[in-house]
Amino acid sequence: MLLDLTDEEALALAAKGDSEAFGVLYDRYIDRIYNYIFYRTGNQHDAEDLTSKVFIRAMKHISNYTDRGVPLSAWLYRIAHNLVANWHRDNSRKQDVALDEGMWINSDAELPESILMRSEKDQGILLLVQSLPEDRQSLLVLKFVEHLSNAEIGQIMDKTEGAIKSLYHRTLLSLREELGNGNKYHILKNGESKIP
Amino acid sequence: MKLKLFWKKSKDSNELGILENQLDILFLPVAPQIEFVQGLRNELVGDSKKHKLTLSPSKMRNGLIWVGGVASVFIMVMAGLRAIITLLGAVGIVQQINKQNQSTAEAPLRIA
Repeated sequence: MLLDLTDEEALALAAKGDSEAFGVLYDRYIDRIYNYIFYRTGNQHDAEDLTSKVFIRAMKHISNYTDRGVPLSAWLYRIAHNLVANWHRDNSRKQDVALDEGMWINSDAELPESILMRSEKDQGILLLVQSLPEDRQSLLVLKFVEHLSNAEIGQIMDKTEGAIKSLYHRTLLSLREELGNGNKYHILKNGESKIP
Repeated sequence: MKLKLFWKKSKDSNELGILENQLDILFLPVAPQIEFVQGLRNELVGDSKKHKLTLSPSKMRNGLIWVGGVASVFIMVMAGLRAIITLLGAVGIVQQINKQNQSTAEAPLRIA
């Protein structure tokens, strides 16, 4: 029964061209990869686009994958991490982010209802997280969305467990400072602008 | 001094703990749309099935060599059989001619 296969067994079969074995891996990781990318990009459309690219790339290179102490999940997250980093780089050229005291973050995000139903404050915190440097964003998403340990996050981000722990602590301090300073994060919708 | 530091550390730790709880509640899993998940799966698994039917260049080369070899052997065997049959036929014809000659040679003796 294919569903009973471990990741390694399914991977070995998928590498030989067994499409159903690849389908098993896909079913296992699609939600997790999508979640990671969604919280990194902030909108459904780009999350779907990048998630597709992750699995297409994984399928293309699956025969080259060798377990060098990096489990399959970490490999998939790394692909996702790199694609999101490229996406941010491309989008940073397009997006206008005002870095004044009251941060105005332009967001034409396609947000699912579960996010839209949250308070503006919560949405603001999510956008604040998105404004963090990439490695800190990635760390928070992997910790709070994927519930990975520091060691697992270290494998994905190619850092030691200690470095992750330290980065995490600094990230929390930085977030606390931003929130504590009373910065207001105003979400611009449909091109509206608000002058403080 | 030590007491102040201890108190500050304790306060920091509490505040960070509260922030962690906030983030825990905030980062809820978001389910991808079913149509997207199914569509991508069909695209990937379907593509994999197509890939199963295609051969790598080296496999194709080996396959062609095998097919060519088998075909060559078959043709050679058929040609050989044909040659044998032809030879047997020729032998048969020669035998028939000989028989005819013999019967022709015997015939005048009978008349006489």
